[in-house]
Amino acid sequence: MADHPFRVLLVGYGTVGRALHRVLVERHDALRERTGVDFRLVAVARRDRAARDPKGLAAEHPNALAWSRGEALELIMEGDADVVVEASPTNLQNGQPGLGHARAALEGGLPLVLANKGPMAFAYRELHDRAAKQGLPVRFEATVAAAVPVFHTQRHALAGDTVLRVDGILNGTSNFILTRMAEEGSGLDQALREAQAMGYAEADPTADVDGLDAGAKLAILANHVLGRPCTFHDVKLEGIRGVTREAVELATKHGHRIKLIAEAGREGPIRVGPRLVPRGSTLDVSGALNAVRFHAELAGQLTMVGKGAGGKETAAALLSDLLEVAKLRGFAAPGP
Amino acid sequence: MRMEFEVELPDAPGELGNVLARVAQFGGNVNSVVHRHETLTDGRVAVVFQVDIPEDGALRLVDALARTHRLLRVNREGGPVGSVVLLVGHVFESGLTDLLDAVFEADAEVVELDVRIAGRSNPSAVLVRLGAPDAGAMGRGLEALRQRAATQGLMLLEPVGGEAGG
Repeated sequence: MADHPFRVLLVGYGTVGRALHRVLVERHDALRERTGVDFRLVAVARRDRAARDPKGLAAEHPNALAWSRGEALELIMEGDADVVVEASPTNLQNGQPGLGHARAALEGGLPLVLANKGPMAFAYRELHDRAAKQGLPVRFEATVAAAVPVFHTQRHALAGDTVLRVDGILNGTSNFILTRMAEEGSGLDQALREAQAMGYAEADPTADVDGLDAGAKLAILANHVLGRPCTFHDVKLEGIRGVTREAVELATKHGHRIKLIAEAGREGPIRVGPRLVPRGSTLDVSGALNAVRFHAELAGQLTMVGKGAGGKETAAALLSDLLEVAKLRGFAAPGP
Repeated sequence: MRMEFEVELPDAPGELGNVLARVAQFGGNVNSVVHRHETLTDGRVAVVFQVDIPEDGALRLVDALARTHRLLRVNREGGPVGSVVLLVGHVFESGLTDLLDAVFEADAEVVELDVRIAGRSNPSAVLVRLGAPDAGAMGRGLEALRQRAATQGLMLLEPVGGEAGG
């Protein structure tokens, strides 16, 4: 099958979707050379519009694509693709419409690669079981800490090990805010305005500041890395709105930083909340960086640090997942 | 086993000897003694002791020292532990004494308090350094704090798991 194009159907054409499109086109020849995979983005859906081209859509400005009326679900059900990438915005009410897209892909026998956290945060077990029953790969590296290879590390490097506990900083915006408070002595409101001015925070910062975004990621980690069936609703959330300038000042004086930490073990609470992190800890990462730490039975503590957001970074994670799926489905040249 | 502890002593002759005698009394051997003169306030100085001591002796030593001295910090795996937490909110209105009593009742103790007050109508921040003879007592002390903080509407910031700090 290595002579056949690997046809990608992309749902969502925001920052991440467009970055993925650009990467697939710009790196097409290099990827084919290196892996044997002939990537071809054959369809894109965003809201009620769709663009398609069986020969592959050229990466251009979204205005230059030939959009027509069309729904993601229709495209998925047509099934003229080898994989579905779900990169539409995350909905933390119920995971829709991404969850519906994910179900439709699996029902139609298509492998699934996710950047949207919603489907896995609300229905990890269902999607996992459905995919397993049909022998379809589902990958979601991009849902947690963007390009930081959290799930690849667990799936490959720690394949024979057992992760007992996971903790980390899974939201860059709140980390940026807390870092500014510690370094500049500013209050939360001022640091939040700075984060918004720099494009880190949305006009409505609830998902970042109240821990919802980190909670959704933690639910996915707990399911996959710890084997703990749970959903977003099982995560105990406490945000950073109550963290005052005085609290940050005291923590600093006594050798700590305040960080919004997501943490779960094989039992006990699954929670997100502000914690004290000793200076010099591997979780003491500043600015908008993310950090994910595994406490593994054999490997001990492993911490991975990197950018947890951004179009290019998230596209990097999607690309690594797509390559893995392409290999599993016989679209890659035989490896060494 | 090896343990390290920090106590506050009056900066006067014989005070150091008293602590060394206690260590010997419970079968311990002193490896090092460091005076932290930079911490000197009101004629008192913080001194860090590193000792090798049998398991049961360590517990009794901490117990004895806690009765006679201000014990600032104890570090030891599987033995006396220290931790630090932050409370944010209207801590004084809601009764700080009540919070601290809850810790004492759990066999842990408060070895340091540091306070920032941002005015009457704004939430205060209080750093609480805890000591306990073992991890079990520390866990009970923290749980007591959690419960009181929740009922009093205070935010409790604990150390991230596995990094209890000193």
